[in-house]
Amino acid sequence: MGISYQAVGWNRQKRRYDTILLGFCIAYIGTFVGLSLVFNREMTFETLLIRSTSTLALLLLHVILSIGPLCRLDNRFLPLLYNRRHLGVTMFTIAAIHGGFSIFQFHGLGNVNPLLSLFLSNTRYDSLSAFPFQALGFFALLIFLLMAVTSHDFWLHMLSPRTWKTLHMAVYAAYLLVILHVVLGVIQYETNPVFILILFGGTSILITLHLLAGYREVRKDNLHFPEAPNASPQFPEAQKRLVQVCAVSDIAPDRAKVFCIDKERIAVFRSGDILHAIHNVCKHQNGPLGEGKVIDGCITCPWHGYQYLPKNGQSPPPFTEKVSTYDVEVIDGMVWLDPKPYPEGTERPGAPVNQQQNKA
Amino acid sequence: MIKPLRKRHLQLWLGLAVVLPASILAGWLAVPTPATDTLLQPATSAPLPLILASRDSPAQTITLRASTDTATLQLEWVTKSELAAPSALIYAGERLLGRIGPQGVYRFSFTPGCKDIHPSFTIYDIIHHKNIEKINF
Repeated sequence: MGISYQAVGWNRQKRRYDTILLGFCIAYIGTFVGLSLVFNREMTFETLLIRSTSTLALLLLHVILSIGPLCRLDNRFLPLLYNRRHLGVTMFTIAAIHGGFSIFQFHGLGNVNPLLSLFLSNTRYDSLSAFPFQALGFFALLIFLLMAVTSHDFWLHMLSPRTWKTLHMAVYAAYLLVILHVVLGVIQYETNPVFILILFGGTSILITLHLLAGYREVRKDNLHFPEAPNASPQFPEAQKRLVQVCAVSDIAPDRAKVFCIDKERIAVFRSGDILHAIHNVCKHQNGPLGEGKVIDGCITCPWHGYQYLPKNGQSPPPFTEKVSTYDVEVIDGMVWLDPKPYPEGTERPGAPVNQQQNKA
Repeated sequence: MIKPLRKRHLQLWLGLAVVLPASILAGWLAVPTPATDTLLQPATSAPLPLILASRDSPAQTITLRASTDTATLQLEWVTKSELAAPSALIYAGERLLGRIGPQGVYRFSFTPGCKDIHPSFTIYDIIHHKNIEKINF
């Protein structure tokens, strides 16, 4: 987790995932080529390659963009998120094959520089049906290239998670460019309504998933929790502001519940018989720690497996990541949280789940 | 994700929820309707009832038809195998009747002139600028 470059570590799960992904891509292209040859024997190799890679890249892009909201709606999709960057790099490679062959086929055989030809062979930027759609695809590919080359953790640390995440959110601009590339390109001459229906279906699914997940998160953020009255004899440490969040029984062993208090999300984990509260945001890529679980005594981020000790929010040595910790108490079977964070990596005792017996 | 990032995601997708369907709709409405060439290729008209003469060959069947009062003549051209030329013009004497191309039935109606008692037709290759065939009835 240092800033020095380390090669991508392929573990068993990643190898299995990549094998399935590669198998799917080969099967897709094989099926596409086979069906095309059955229905249109005159199609050339270049056309087959350009069309099969374009549709495959578009399909993979939709899958990639649906993984985030699917995980927010149902955590059974989390394994897909763990490998999303591999999917992204694969999609870029396939899109680059499509772009490369298209530039070669349509612009590489003349006496003008192919990249110049891409922008100058058609300058009807004022027309929708004759718009130079290839330029849109080119800019989308450029964004995907930037994302693919910075997908390694080395760049995440070099650029800082905030800059890296902002850069990678450009995928939405690239998606819009891709959709325009398709609508102003192939849709203008392949007039079978099936194509536009498929495209519309894909974008509708993505929009629905993202809005559903987004509004669900807003609802979570806007939940209000009752606060303990200052004069309560149950809280002799009066300077503390305690907020009642849930019952102890609501938190499953080795799991957490997440609460948004004062615009910050706090994850309360049950590790063994002790509750610990830490900041919900992983230092790696802002992953939701509270949706992970305690593995080998460490809170494990569901996105990429970064780990933190529950008692102090520190990654186990030799790693150096740290998150804030919070005070948590158990009174009469209810969990109370102090939303004031301690500095990152501060050790806190946590609260035994049967603490109510001590307080009573 | 941190709260500002979640908010930015939601704002972006609210924007995309408007822009994406609008773009697809605009692109779909902009699809040009294919232009049809009506200059030399009139719609095939119904055959006239009288058959004045007919010639049959493996490549085509040519029939000279007429209306019941013989005020109108009609050349019916049935291409059975494709022409050697991709597109050819057909003339009645010096009058251009129309264009014949791939396999199909072509009918060209015309008013007979005094020279059309035994009309002759010329098939002309417009690309190579040469006569392909001359047909006399």
